[in-house]
Amino acid sequence: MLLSDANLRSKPFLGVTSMPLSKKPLLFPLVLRGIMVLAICSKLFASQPTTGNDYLFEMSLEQLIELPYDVSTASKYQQEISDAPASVTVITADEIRKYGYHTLPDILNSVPGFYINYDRNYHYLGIRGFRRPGDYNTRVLVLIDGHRTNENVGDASYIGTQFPVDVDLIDRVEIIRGPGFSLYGNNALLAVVNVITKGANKLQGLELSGQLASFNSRRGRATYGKVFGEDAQLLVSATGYESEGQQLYFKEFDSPSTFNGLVKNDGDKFGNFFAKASVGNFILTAAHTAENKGIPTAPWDSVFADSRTQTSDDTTLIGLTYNRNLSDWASVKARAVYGSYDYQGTWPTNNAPPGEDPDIVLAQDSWSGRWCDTELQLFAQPLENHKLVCGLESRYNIRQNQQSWDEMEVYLDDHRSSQSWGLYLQDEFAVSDKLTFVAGIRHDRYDTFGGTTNSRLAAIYHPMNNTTLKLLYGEAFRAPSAYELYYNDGDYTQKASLNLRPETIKNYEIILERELNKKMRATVSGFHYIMHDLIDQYIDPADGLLVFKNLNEVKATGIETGLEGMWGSGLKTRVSYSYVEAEDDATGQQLVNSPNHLAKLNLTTPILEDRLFAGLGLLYSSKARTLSGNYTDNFTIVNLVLTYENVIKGLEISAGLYNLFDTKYGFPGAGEHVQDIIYQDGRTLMIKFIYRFK
Amino acid sequence: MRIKKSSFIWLLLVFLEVSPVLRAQTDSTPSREYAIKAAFLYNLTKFVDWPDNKVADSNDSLVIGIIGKDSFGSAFEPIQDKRVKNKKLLIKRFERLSQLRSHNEPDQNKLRQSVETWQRCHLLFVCASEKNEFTDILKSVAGHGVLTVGEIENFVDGGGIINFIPNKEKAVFEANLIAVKEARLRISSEVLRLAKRVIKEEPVDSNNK
Repeated sequence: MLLSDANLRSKPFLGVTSMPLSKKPLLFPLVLRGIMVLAICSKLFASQPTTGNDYLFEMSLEQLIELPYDVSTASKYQQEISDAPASVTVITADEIRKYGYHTLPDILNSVPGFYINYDRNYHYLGIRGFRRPGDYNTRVLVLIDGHRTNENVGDASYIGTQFPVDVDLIDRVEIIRGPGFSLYGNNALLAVVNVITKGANKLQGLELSGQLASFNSRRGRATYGKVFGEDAQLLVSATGYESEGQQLYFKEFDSPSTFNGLVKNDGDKFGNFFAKASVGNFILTAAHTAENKGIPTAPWDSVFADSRTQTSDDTTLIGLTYNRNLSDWASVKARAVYGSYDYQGTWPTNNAPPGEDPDIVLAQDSWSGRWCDTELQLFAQPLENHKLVCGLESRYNIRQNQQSWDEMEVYLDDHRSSQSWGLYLQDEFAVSDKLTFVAGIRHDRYDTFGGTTNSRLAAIYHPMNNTTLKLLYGEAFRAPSAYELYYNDGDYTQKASLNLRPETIKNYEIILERELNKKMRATVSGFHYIMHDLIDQYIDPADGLLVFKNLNEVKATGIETGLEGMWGSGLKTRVSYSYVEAEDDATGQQLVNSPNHLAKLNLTTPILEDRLFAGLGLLYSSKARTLSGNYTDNFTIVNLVLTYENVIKGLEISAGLYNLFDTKYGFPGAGEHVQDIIYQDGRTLMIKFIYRFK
Repeated sequence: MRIKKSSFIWLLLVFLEVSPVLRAQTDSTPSREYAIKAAFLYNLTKFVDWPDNKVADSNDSLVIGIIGKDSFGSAFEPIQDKRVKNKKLLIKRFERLSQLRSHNEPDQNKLRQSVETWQRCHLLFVCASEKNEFTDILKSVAGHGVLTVGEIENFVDGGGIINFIPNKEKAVFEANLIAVKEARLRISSEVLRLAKRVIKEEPVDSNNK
């Protein structure tokens, strides 16, 4: 995020070079044929109409009491997945445990159409072919218990070790692929991820956990939960993590003056505190994480292998939710949140001209944000077949500060505050038992750029009780961030970009879901989205200065297919395949870092009675283009996890081998990296224990 | 992107394939909460032994009665004709007790008949709407070997056997072993160990007889 005054950032952001237009096959006919085939097949195999809930009668009492009543993110109220006007994936705590996901990126990497990149600093989420190097998760909205976590300087969401909730405290993650459909406002362009945390009712008593992993990584957690009668509960938890990291080799720096490309500065550490309390109709969620990472890649022209190169990210979130039924057919929800984010980066930089003795200065930059959100939402079902949601959301950005300096000079010291609000309304109209229409509209006003209105339309049809066809149209926006609007270095190399408009997306989607033989669910979907006014940096020919502008249009078409099911004897599988073509609209060029094919398999099965479980994860990604026009290799990563419950009463031990076959794979570097491809870890091991005192 | 003619034909076929046939609306689709509760009740019956005289009386059906404002809708449809313990499942619905009482009959015939039918049920589910009447319901079926299940706060404290603790998130239940004994039922420990709370000793307040 720092622009050194010694070098202009000259690499164009989309990596557009002068390659000829590629030939694009027509995807929609393919999608339609796929859906047609599935529809015909399902008719062939259909016996009598059966309710979508048949499979529940096959489940044991033990399983039934674990099922959540709601998938609440897609329409902000209780709803069956098959009735939600979106592509929804829910990943439960049980799956998180049995598949050995030990961070949020691991969880998200299993979602159809998603891909995770890591550049040894932050983890980034690619969705449906879109994640350009240099994007900081600004086009996905990440929530914790319904509260926004995207910080308010760059609008980025940090999902790696900076994420303020320990993965063991996650009850489930609800993911909507596609725009947040006018209920969520800013950032919900490509997906909405809602991390729902456990309350004390799921973690009673004291629980201790310890974890050891490769590269001398250690993690410890202590959690205590207590339920006070029917009406109140409290959960508190603390986690500490430290990893020494490994020595890495970068061929781009392989020369005697730069240690032959070897560097050991990949250490990572964080301290996290979490509390969740509920009293009557109030729920309070509080989380804080302070994290610090050494950066080995020497980005932003910093000195290679200087151990002072690091970033720190501190995040705090305190959110209060109040839910109340007003009557049989109406309920109200009110939320208030306080958030804070502090980032600091240290980049030792050599200011001396080439050939002369090094003159190293410690360039630093920081972001500091404080914000306050409130929301009031009303749900009502005034008529049997109309479900209405309306709400008012407001955001007050108390502080949005950016600074950059070194020992000699202050280059940027920008302080801002701003406000915005949004008003939304949605109606779900059940025309008949089988057909429902959803229409929603939202208007947001920002004191930076004015207003934007976005809408959603959906038709959900059940031709038979176990089949759902959804036709969706949605719009969403992303407001220009404080970073994009105001970052400048005194007009030395970059000026402020005051006239930015919001980015917008229009998404068209068709989804066919079918419950096959009571325990399996198959999904096929086709989507097409167009993003307008994407904000990028470019050099203004009038004065040679860098500036942000609404420059680019991207369009993408793709299909996603998935199958999830429970087989006899406890085997559970989730498999998906997705194909996408995402291209820059002006040039017809495929986007950088946009793999066409993604295939994922996750399965878990009990091995020994009901106490030993094996989890297998497989991820395939086809090649992706880098900024310099090369390609990363196709890769397949396999993970294997064994979980042993109740080794002795209350003790659970799990062990995992990640990247089992030591595959070498990497992701495209961004503009700030010298590296064209940033390679990832080989085979790593993790051992974890959890002990519950009862 | 030009749309080819063949795509139009496919698109048309897709629409014909899924063209809506509006059927008469019967029961509404139940919410997930009640679909889960229905599955729970069905499953529960497999783990309960009723007293011998009840078994003899019941003419080959296992009756599940539902009293009050019922949110199950069509939740029991998939198991309408299934058999449990070699008896056919029968679902009977009853109006709210407050409504039964409000019928202006001198001899309260309808109320009396309903109570007799309740006493013949194997499982009686008391809906949340009966939160002010449930103690009367429990009193009226006491001693008739009825497995009483509720979704009302204090249901088990008031003598009910199993209760879904009112909960927005999932099916959490509690059980009253004394009530089980009084109804001369036997419930497998496999069920009881899943309960969040189990009443075992005599409650201090014995006003619930």
